[in-house]
Amino acid sequence: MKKVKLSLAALTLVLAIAGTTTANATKSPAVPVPLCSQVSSDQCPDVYPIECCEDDATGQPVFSRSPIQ
Amino acid sequence: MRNKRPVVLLITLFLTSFAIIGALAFLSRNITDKKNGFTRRLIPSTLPFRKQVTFPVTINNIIGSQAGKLYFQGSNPYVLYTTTLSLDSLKETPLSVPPDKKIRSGIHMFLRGNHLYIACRNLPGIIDYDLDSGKSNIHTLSYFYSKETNFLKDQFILRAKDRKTKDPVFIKLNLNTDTIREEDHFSTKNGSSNFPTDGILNYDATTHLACYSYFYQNGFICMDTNLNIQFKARTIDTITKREIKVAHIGTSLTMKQPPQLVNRISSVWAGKLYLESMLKADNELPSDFAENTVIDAYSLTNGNYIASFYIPRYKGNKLYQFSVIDNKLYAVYGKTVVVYDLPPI
Repeated sequence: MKKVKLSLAALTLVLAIAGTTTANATKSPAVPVPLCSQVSSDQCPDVYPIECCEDDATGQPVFSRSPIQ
Repeated sequence: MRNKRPVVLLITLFLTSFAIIGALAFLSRNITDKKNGFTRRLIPSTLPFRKQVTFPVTINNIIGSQAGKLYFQGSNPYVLYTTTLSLDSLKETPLSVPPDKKIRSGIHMFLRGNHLYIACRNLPGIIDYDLDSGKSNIHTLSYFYSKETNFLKDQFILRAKDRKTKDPVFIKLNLNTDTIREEDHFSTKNGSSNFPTDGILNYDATTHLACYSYFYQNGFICMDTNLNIQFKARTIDTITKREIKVAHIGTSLTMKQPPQLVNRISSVWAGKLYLESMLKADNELPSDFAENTVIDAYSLTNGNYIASFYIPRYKGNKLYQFSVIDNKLYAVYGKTVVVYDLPPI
C-alpha cells in the first residue's frame, strides 16, 4: 500500500511538471514592444522607427529598439 | 508474487505518465500552430547569398545607392559608411557636423546628389550636409516629427502632430520655405495619439509615391508628393486593427500593454513595396516562419499582393533592417550586412 501511495505521488509530480511545461509551450508567441516608461534608456535608444513614448506637451517622440532578437 | 504487484503497478503508472506527457506535447504543438486565416504565394527557392561585409559599428539604416556606391548610417551620426554595391570595400567618411547632444539619437539619413540630409527628430530639424564641401546647413523646425522621407532635393514628407487635435498628420516640407506647413487632408482627426497608426514612411522614385505601412493594423496607404491620397491597400493578413491602449504617465504618453505587431519594417523599389509580416500564413510551416523573416511584396501601382519570400537568418540572427536596391536585397544583421539576389517577382 505504501508503494502504491508512493507511485501515485510520483505520478502527480510528473503530471504537474508536464502540465506546467505544456501551459508554457502553448502560450501564444508575443512580439512585445518594450514600454519606454517601464524600461531603461538602453532598451529605448531612440533609433528604431517603432515609437514607444512621446512627450504630451511637445510631441517629441522616443523610439524603441527592434523587438525581434 | 505479492512482492511483484507494486513493481508492475509502478512501471504501469510511469509508462502511463510518459504517454500523457507525449499526448500533451503533441496537443501543444497543434495549439501553437495557430491559423491566421490567410495564405501566401511563397517563392519556393531561398534567396541566393552573394556576399557579406562586417562594419566596425552596428548599422542602423541603409541610406541608399548612388553612382555605384552604397551608403550606410551607423550608430554614430558623425560618420558615413560607404561600400560598393557588391560590398567589396568599406570606407568611413567623418562628417564635420557641429556637435550637439540632440543629434546623438533619433536620426535618419537620406542621400540626394551631393546632399546628405540628416533628419534629426530630437532637434527637431534637418541638417543639409554638402558631401563635396563638408559644410552643413541646419534647418530647425518649430515642431517635432516622428517619421520622414525625402522625395526631391530639399523636399520632405514628415509625419507630425496636428497643432489643434494632436492627431498625426502628414506634412510637406521644403527646406527653402521651412516656415510653411502644408498638411494632408485625409488623416483622421479624432484625438487619438500616434501609437495606433504608427508605421513606416517610404518614397518610391519609380511611381513618385510616398507609402506608409502600419505596424498594428492591416494595410498601407500611398500618397503623391502633394499629399493627395492615391490609394489605400489591404495587406494579406486578416487583422483589421490591434487595440492599442494609451496611458498618460506624468507628461508622457505611452502604450499600456506591449502591442502585437502585424507588419514591421518595409522597403520600396521600382514600384513594389516589400513588407515584413509578423503573422504566419496557414500554408506555412511554423518552423519556416520562426527561422526566417517573411517578406510580402505588393504592387505600388494598384496595391495588389504579388508574392512572398523568406530572408534567412545569418549566423543565427534574424535581420534588423533591409533594403531592396536594383534587384538585390541588402539585409542588416547588427554589424554585418548581407547581399542576396532577389528572385524575379
